[in-house]
Amino acid sequence: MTIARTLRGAAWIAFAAWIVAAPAYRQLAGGRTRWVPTWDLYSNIGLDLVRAQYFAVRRGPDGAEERVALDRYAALGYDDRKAPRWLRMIRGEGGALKIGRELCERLGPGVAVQVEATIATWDGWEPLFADVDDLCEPIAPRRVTRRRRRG
Amino acid sequence: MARAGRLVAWALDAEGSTRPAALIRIGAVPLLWTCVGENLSLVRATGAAQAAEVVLFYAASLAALIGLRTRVATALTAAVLVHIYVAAGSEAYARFFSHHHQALLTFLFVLLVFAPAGRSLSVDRWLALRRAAAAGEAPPPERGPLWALRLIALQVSAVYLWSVVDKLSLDFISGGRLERIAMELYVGSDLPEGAGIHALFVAASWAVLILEVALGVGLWSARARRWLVPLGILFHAILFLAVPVCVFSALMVLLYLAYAAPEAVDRAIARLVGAPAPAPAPAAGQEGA
Repeated sequence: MTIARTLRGAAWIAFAAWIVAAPAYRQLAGGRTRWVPTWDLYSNIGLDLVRAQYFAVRRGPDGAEERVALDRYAALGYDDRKAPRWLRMIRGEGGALKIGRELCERLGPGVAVQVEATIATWDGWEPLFADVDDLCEPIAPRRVTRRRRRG
Repeated sequence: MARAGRLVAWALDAEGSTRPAALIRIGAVPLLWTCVGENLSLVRATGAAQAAEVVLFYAASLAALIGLRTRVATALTAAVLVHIYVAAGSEAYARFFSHHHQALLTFLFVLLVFAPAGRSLSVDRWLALRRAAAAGEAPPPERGPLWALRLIALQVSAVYLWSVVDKLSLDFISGGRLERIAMELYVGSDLPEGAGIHALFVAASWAVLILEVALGVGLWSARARRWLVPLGILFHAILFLAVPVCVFSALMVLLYLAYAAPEAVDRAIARLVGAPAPAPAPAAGQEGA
């Protein structure tokens, strides 16, 4: 075996080891460094986006509740194509609550606003709001997974 | 033992046509310019040193494109790219934040330094032919070692298979990740409801997963390449159209050349230009199917 072939073999093994194994440091072991590449294209796009359906709840004279699904664009007076970004792209718990507050303001007193919402997380869609009586009242913050689990 | 010996010979000793490496070189430089051109320019240089680096980068990469002093040119291009990769955390280089295609191009140019990418389709080749003609000798063969090309193919497989590892999560296999990507890029929070739509995203997620495994493993097989290459091109074309991936799709498809049997690439070029098929390569140490 010539020296050149030995060097070539050593270089090949070093490159191959880097190519094959290096991403494991970040993708499996959860290491944090810029030096090692990850091949996880677009994995974090859309995280924290919320899918939400808002409801208006009115109490009738007989005390019975009427729950009506809301078109959030129409309720806030926007054409859905020209609506501001915060209304089209609901981002996180804060974004969902902001729309709730806007709806409360628009619908006025005597109407409760409820929402059923899920949020995009590293573990898939997770419930964000399902049991909130009235977004027009102060509510406790949700607890949704934010960190990606590695390894 | 014999199998290990064959594997080592395949990885280290195989020789073949240098045209696939040359085609990768020629294709990669414009992709590189597209990728870094906006940031790596004199108008955006933050000082004399970075301006010099910009000039060096374009001079070296242009020389690499035309194949003039190819190995030196490729090495200088790779050196600038590695410096950017390493320095990207500093303030002066903060705008070069590390996209995947940028990392992939950096690794590619490092590997191209070790490939005989200048022996074909290059000014170096033209000069070598002139020298041979002047000396009354036969044209030098367009053959060289393939070990760096093997590593480029290994890098492509690693991209696919590590991408699969990343997708082995409930988020992806439940269709959730593709749904949120579609929402972020297209429909906002108003993803159409319905079991059919969700089933479509689940099916697409599994199809991507299976295809990436097939590409990462199957592209090494000459038989599987016949149907995997068109599928891979279609996959990357859809990605290119649907998601802002910049040069990533084109780069991955270009790098399929690293898997191809070099002599098959020769035959394809001969068919394209209407030239007679090249003579078969010598048996010893040659590339197989």
